[in-house]
Amino acid sequence: MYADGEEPDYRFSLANERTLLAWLRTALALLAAGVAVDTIDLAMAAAAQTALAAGLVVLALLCAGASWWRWARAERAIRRREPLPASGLGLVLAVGVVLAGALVLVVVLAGGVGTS
Amino acid sequence: MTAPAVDPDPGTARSRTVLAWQRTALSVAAGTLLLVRLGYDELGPGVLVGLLGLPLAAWVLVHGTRARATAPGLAGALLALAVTALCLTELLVLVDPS
Repeated sequence: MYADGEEPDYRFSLANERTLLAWLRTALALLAAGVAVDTIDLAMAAAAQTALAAGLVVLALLCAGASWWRWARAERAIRRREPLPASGLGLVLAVGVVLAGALVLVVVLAGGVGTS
Repeated sequence: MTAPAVDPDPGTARSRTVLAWQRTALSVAAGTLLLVRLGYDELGPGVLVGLLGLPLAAWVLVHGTRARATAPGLAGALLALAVTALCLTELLVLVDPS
C-alpha cells in the first residue's frame, strides 16, 4: 500500500489511525455488553439471553475485523486523493445496539433484574 | 483534500493519537482481565493463557505510541487480533453447554 499514491498530510494518516483505534474500542465495549447480558440474570428465557449476548459479541467481532479493512481502504483513498469509501457498518452497528438496548429495556421493565 | 499551507493546530494531532493508543491499550488490558476472570469459572484454568493479553497491552502502550511513518503497523494488528481473540473466547463461554 505504501508504494501507491503519494505521501498524504500526516494529520490525515493520524486521523485514520485514531479511527482504527476507536473502532477497536467500540468492539471491546460491545464485547463487554455481551458479557454483561450473559452474566446478569434477566427475566427472559435462557436461550434468548444467550442469543442476545452472542449477537452482541458477533457485532464486536464484526467491528474488530472491519476496523482494519476500513483503515486500509481509507488510507489508500487518502494517498490517491480519492473520496473516502462509504461504510454500512455504522448503520448495522446503530441498528444492532438500538435493538439490543430496546430488548433489554423491555425485559427489565417487565420482569426485573437480579445477578447470577 | 488539501491542507492549509500553515498548520493552524501544530502538534496536537500527534498527542491525540498517542492518547488514543493509550486508551485502546488500557481497554484491551481491562477486557482481558474481565474475560479471564469470567472465563475461569466456565472454562477452567486453561483460560489463563488469555493473560497473554496483558503483556501485549503493555507492549502496545510502550511501542505503539511512538510516532512513525508506517502506522498502525504491528501494534495495530496485534490489538485487532487480541480483540478478536477476546470475542472468540466469550463466544466459547456462551456456547459451552456445561
